[in-house]
Amino acid sequence: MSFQSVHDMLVPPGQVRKQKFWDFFDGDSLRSWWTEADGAGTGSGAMADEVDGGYQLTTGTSDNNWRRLTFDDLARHYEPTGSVFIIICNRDSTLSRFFAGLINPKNAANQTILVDNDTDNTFYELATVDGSTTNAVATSVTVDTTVRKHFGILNAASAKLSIDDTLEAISTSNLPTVKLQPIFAVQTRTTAARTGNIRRYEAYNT
Amino acid sequence: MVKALIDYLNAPGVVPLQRVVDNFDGDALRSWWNLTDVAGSGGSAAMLDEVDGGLRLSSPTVAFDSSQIDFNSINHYSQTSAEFIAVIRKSGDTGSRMVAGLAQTTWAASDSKVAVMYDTTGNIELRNGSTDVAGSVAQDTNWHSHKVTVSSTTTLMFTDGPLDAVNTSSLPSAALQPIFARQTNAASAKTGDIRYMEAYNT
Repeated sequence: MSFQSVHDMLVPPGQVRKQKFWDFFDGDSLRSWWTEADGAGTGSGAMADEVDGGYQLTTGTSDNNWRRLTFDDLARHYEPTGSVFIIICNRDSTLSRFFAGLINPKNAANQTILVDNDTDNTFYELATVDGSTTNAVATSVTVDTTVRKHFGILNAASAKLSIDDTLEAISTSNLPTVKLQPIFAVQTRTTAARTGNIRRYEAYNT
Repeated sequence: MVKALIDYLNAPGVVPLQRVVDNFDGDALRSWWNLTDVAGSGGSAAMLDEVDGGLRLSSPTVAFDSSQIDFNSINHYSQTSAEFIAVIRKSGDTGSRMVAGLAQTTWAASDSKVAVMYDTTGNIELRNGSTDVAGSVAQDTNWHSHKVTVSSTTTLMFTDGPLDAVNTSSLPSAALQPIFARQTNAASAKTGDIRYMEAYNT
C-alpha cells in the first residue's frame, strides 16, 4: 500500500493534523532543532560512529553530572492531557541513568512524564510529576543497558508506559498539567563519565 | 509488512520524486528555510511556545509590508504536477493577508504561483498567479489543513478534507518553491502560524 503523502499516512481524512515530531538521529551532527546542555558538570555529545549508534551523550566526570537534549523551553508543543512519546535509547554501562520523555521546564523535573532507567533503582520506572509531587511506578523490567523501545501515553486520567511493546506501568496521580517538550538525558552515578545513546524520538498530540 | 518509508510513499517500480516535510517543531526554524522580507524589513520567524503551536511568522510593522519563509528560490516543484499540504492559522486582523503554497519567487509577485490565500477579507481563496477563486470556507482564527494540487490544466484546493476551490486561470508556468507569507495592513506586526508543511511532485 502506498500513500500520496506523509501527511495522509498519519492523519485520518478531514482531521486537522496536530503537532508531531520525529528524529532519526542520523547524519554527521545533531539536528539544529535540539538544544544540548549540561544539567550539571561538563559533558559532550556526538554522533556515534557505529551500526545503529544514533546520537551519544557523555556526562561530566563527577557523581550525578548529567547532560540533556531538549527544545530549550522554546517550543513546548505537547499536550499534558493528550500526547505520546516513542523513544529508542539506552545507557551504555553500569552506574548510570537515563531519563526520557516529556518535561517542563528543561532543567528541572517539575512537570513530567518520563521513563527512568537508573542504576540506583531495581526496575525501570514511569515517573509523573504535577509540579510538586512525583509518582514513580516501577515496571517489571530490571534496569539494564539494553536498547529498548519506550512508549509513553499521556491523557487526562492516566499516564502509561510500555517497554518493548508490553504495557509495564500506569500512573493515575500527579500527572503533568502544563505544556511539555521532549527530553533525553543521561546521568552518571559515579565519579566517571557515562554515556547514553538515542536513535529515535517521536512525539505527537493525540 | 512494509519496512521502508519509501515503500509507503511510492508504488513498486516508481522512482521517488522530490519531497519535503517539515513538522515545525524543536527550538528553531529548520536551516533549509530562508526568511525573506518581501516588502519592508523586520519580519521574523520563531517557534511558538504553546501546545500545537508550530512556528509563528510575524510581518514587518509598516502597513502593507510583508515577509515570507521560502527556499531562497531553489525551485524543486513542478508547475504542472505537484502537491502542497500545510496546516496553518491566521491571527485574524481583517485587511491583512496570509499565504501558503508554491511560488516561483514571492507571494506578492505576479509570476507563477499556486497558493492558499487568506485575503484581506472574505472566504479562503485559491490563488494562481494573481487570480483568486474563493472557496466556501470563511476565514477565522482556527487551524486549518489545506492541500493544493497542481496539474497542467487546473489547480485544486482542499480545506480540512473536502475540495473547496478549482482554478483554471493563470496556471503556473515555471518551477516552484514552498512559501508561507504574512502581510500586515497596519503599523503593527501581524502573525501567521504553521505547524506542518509537505510538498512533493506527483
